[in-house]
Amino acid sequence: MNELADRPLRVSSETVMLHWWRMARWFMNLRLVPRWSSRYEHRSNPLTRVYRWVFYDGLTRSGKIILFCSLLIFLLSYRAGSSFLLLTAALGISMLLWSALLGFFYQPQVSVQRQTPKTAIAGMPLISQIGVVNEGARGLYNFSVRELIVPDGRWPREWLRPHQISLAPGQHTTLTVSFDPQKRGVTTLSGLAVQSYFPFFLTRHSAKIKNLAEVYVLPSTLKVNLPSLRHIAEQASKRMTLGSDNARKGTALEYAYSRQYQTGDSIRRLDHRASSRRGEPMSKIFEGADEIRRDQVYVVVDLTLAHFEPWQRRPSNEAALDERLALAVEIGLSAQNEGFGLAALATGKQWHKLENVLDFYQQIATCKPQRPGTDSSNSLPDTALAENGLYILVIGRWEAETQNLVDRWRQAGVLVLVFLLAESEADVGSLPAGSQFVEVQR
Amino acid sequence: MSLSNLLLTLFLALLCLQLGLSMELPFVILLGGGLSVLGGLKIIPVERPTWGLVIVMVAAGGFLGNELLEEMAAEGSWAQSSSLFAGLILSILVYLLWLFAASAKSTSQVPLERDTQTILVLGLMLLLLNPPPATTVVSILGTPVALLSVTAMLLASVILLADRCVGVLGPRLLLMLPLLLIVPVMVILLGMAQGPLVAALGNLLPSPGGSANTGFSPYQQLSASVFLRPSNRSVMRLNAVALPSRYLAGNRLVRLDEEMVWQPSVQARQFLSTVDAQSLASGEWRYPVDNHHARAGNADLQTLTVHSLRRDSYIFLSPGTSRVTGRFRALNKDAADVWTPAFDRGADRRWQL
Repeated sequence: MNELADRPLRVSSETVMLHWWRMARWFMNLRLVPRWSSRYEHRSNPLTRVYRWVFYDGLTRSGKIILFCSLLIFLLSYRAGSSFLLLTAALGISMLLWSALLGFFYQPQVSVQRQTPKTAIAGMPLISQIGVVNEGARGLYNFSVRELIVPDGRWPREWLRPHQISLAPGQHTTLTVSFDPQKRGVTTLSGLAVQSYFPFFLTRHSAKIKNLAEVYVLPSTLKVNLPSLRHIAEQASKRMTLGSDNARKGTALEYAYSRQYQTGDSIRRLDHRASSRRGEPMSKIFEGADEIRRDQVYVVVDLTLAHFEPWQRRPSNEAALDERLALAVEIGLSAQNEGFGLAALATGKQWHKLENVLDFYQQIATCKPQRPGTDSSNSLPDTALAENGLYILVIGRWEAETQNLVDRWRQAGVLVLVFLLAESEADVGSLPAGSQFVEVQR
Repeated sequence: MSLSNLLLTLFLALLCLQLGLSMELPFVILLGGGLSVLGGLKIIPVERPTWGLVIVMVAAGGFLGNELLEEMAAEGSWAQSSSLFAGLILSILVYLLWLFAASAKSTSQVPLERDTQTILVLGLMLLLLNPPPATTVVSILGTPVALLSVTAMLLASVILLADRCVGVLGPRLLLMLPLLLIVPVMVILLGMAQGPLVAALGNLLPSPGGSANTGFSPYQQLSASVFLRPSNRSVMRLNAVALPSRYLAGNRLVRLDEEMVWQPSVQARQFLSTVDAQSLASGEWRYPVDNHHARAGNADLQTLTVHSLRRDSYIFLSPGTSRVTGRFRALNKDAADVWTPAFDRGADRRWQL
């Protein structure tokens, strides 16, 4: 179903009738009922608050069923000769009222401090450490902590939350709170709710505390086997050395030094003598090989989606882009494991220098999908930042414009590896042959 | 066995007892109780039932109940007359027992447990919404108490507490003591609110529009709903030259006052027992019925044909009736002031005026 955010854009080059036709289709499929989960808990309207109080904060399931049955018994027992007894209803309602009254006097009065990781992965639990200090005059009994509702997030079920039996006044404890982000982007966690089940686990009393935390949510992990970057870079580098004019001349490689073995190093280059001397595997490094000069990785991600039309405000499905970005994350992690440094990331046309890995994750989490342009210069950077790096291009479609860009960079002595994660069936097998072209299979 | 596990075993055994007594099926009590204990001991590892299996189990329960319970259940029990429903309830009981046997060991690491909650929610619904069998109702200080329902409700709360209040369970249970004072007050308050609330709810309900000829007057209509729920809406149309003093509308004695509003007549007796009745040689009881309209009785004998409105336990009296004879041991007036004989189960539902 469509939402308000999907209202079609007017494309000046198209006829007005087409625009109105799209508007009519959008309106007919418009979702008028807002999503419950699309609002922040502390900003919700009164009706939503009542709904959430009934289901999440007020009575537990046992409490709800006792209330429901007591009310029914109360009504049914009015009939003369009815087998239902008013005393049963009175006991149920009395238990709930007494529980609510006691719980009110012992409701949580706490301060909290959170330690939340800066990054998370969509669909995977994000675990925060929450320090809770009881600032009330009375003890705090049978309580747990949960995140307040935020859009595109999901709580763990009640039976998966941690439970603390008691906390004396002025005392401190630490609890873990988990939360499942559902979508790539920046999620602002708005606060925490400390819920007490005191005294009979029939009612809940909650203290909702604003405590902001910003989390960069990466796309869901892509389960693929990536080849060794160092290995394919080496293969591609040799081909380039032989094939390009401005490459370094000379055929032989001279031994330079040995260093600790890193993932991706060729087994043939193991330095057995140094390994036995140091007691750990060592690799030989040769002069003239690109391993020495190409220790920085530049990642370029094509953000365009083939079906992102000019009249659309947002693509109908971002799954293909999320998978592409997940592949970029895997490549970034793989590069780090193999001893490369992440120097810069280009999301679309713009280069972003990376100071640390958090910068990389931030760019991945916040980048927006782009419409496909007439040529690749709209969606990919024109120039490489430096010649002596390893450039990794992550794309969903192999097009003539992309081919031109790669050729241009290679002519300039830039080593480019192209990773294709096919956006559609038509894009499968479209990459040319060569060691620097890798098509990733799902 | 942990304390909460022990209490949950007791809760399920109580549920089996309640259902067994209610359905008059002794094997439900014995088998259910035994399975509850076995499930509590967790001797045999059992897999949790899947949702698909639960649906199949409930459907099979309904089918088998429909086929078997009609013959197996005691004559006249509700399990016999509503065998499909009884089968469904028994299948839910089996599900709860299975879930209990398959549930993980109780832990205080989480505030509430999934399986325990499911067992308590479904179990409480079955226990509380099933009318308590007469044998489980005891009189405490003159007040009838449904022993199993009350025990189950208290147990449901203690089960949740048991493993999560280690060391402080005693003081926590002491917090329940004030209920001894609160409940009597609540009974009085609810009793006071019950009548007006039920009447208000009755008026909120849409009128079913089902009315039938009463047989007392050619223009008189009797709304069936008035006998099923209290109402202050007009239920009949009457054309008369003069105001009738008192009128037996259906079998409710009413009078039309100066404001043209029907007012109930004085209802002297609400309950008649065999003490008030005369025993006849035929084994029947003859009950005297208050009839303030007797003096204005019909001059001529009339033959009335009265059709049951919805239930066959309502008794219809013509004006001037002073005696009702039948094989029943009591006569009650229900919420709508309609006389209802307490027929024995399976007895011939006839009476003579």
